[in-house]
Amino acid sequence: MARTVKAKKVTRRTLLAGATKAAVTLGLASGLSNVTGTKARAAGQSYAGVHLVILSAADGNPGYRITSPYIPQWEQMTGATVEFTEVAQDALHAKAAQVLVARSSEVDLFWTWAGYTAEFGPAGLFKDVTASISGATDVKDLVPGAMDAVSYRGRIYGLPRFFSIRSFYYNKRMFQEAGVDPTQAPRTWDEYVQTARKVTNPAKGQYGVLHQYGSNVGLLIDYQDHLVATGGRMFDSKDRITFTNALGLEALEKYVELSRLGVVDPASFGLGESPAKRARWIQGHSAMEWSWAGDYSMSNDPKISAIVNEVGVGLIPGIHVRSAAITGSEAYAVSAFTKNEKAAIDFLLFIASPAVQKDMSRRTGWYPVRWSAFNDPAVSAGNPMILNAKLQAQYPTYRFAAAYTNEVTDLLGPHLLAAIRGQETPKAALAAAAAEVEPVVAKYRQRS
Amino acid sequence: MGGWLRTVWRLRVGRAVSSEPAFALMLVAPTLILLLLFGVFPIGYSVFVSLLQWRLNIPGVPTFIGLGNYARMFHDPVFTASLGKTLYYSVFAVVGTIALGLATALLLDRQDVKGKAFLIAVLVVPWAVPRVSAGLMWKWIYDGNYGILNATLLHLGLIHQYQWWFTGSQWVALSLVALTQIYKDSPFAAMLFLAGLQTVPVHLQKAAMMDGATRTQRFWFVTLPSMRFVLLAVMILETTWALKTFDLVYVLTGGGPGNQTMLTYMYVYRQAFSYLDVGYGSAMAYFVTFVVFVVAFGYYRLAGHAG
Repeated sequence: MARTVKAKKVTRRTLLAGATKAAVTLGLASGLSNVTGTKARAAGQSYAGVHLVILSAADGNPGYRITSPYIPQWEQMTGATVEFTEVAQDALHAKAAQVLVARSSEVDLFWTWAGYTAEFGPAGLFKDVTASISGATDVKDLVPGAMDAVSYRGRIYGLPRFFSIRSFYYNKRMFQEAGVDPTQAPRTWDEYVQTARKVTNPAKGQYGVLHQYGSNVGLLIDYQDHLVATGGRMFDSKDRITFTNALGLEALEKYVELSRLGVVDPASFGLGESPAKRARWIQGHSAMEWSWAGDYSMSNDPKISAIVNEVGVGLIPGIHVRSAAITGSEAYAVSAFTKNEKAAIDFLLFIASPAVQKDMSRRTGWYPVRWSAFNDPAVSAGNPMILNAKLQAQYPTYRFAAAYTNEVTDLLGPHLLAAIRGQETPKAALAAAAAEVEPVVAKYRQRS
Repeated sequence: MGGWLRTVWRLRVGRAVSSEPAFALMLVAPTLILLLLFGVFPIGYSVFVSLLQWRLNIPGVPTFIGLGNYARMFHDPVFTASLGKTLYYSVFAVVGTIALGLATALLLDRQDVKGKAFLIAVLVVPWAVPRVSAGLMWKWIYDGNYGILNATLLHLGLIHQYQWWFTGSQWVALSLVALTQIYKDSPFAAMLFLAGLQTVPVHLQKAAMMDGATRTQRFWFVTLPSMRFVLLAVMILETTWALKTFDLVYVLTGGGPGNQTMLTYMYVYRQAFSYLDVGYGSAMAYFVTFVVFVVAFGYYRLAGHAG
């Protein structure tokens, strides 16, 4: 019997149904291919299709970029793509807090330092990757001062991007003109003050010392420089205030003394951030400063510096110890809510690898996070900073970092400034700050 | 289109149920829903948050403390100091904006001004520039290393070396931030005043002239009273904007050095987003909102009496 085939009438309904079926089929096919991993991947491209998002603070001055130059290489190796966004540090903290507290997976890696790690790590907002990192790399090769940026009370939350320790810089030309031996830095605190007085000549716009009074963060870093030189600490291991003791008071008195003697560059009051301080240093108005590694390479950059080949480095002169320094390493931490944990850790391991660290250090002057890179003659050749950093790291190091770092910084900063300006005595300034800080810290003590 | 919708509405819903009010409600429902979702709910929730002790970086359940955050404010020396600084800043900014805006409008209103349209277009530029961009521009103008203000004053012999303008007295620092706000807002005020000047009765001006009134007397006794509503509108707007200033302070000084330029809303930001104390930050924000409301209400009553 012949079958009668009815011709199907094409209507809007049939077209819509057909299009819907086609879309669903295509979607399922694409999803299945992702699940089964049948998407085509080049050899070695283990993270093809992964889009890694990194929220970073400033990646270094132009020409001295720290992390971003290595991203294309990692992308090529792994097939992943990276979105690297830089924001100002204050804005980064607010943004990171919003993203993390919302438990969002929109960012995989956050820039961090010891303070943020202490704040977000124990709160469960950064991922504890201790096991992953320990199993994937030789942890003994990582410089402890670098790991401080990304670990807290024994747990690791990421990997560092560079190691940083304060160094003592001095201008050899200004020393010579003032009749001071230009071949070595002052060895004691008294020598340091005497040298500052000899070099200072306000009529020529020359001063002994450059500080950073323009922000609460700058003031606290400067104060910690002096505190660690006395052997003091901000808080003890039980979060009790210790900056009001004899060592803390002496540190502030020494800090304030320099301003009272008139040997501090008045521009210090306007310098809020490290790049601004660096820009002032390379103009050659000050003879001495305590600062980070990046200042040396910028000092010798003929395109921007007025003090090329004039800068010497030395040990920071201590007050009760021969020398001591604060650390300031930077790192990237893994978000607790990332969907790309393996790719994120792989990226961190790549940035912290000996090869990348050697190249980064040679190019920017920042110190590598691995001892194997630190000890490589090719890295230290022609860079006295490396040898100086190794020597400085043999003396006590310290950096105040806790969940309440931001608040303590903003409560203590104005009192430090008032002491510098002579509006409060050092003792009154510390006492007033302690009275304001205590209720804040008490809340965190209750937590732990 | 409205008729078609109405027909569909009646066919679907039925004549017994459908009515003009119900139909109107259906039409505004999408907007109402959006308003509830993005307006009423966030405001209500943040009022609730202001009654909690809640720090985002301390794990645990937030604790209800009633008005505890509001009481804490008045024992917080940084907050109480910020109120005084914000008051000073607001008065400086409002007076400066109105003075400059009025002067500009009076100049543009003159009959002998050539290229008025072009001048008005140029005048709008500072107002059109985003506030953050304006803040960054002025940050560079004031800069102690490279700023053009220093370069100009040094060239004129008014200073002997570059100055760091924000590092002296806090009142000078606040005034400099307020100058940035005046630069930004005075064109808007000038536009409103210029429009207001067109409404001043010409016959009153002529009568005053014939009676021998000087230009200044005509301004005080004829022009200003005729513009009182425009003046009050500008005062209300400028005062509320000045009291709520955050972006200019954030860009120019961050509230520093120390807490010299810590205006109230900058401190609210600091508490909520730097220290992650969202309960306390919300409480302070609502207190300032209440103050703004009281000020605006006061101006409104003043306008009512003047009317």
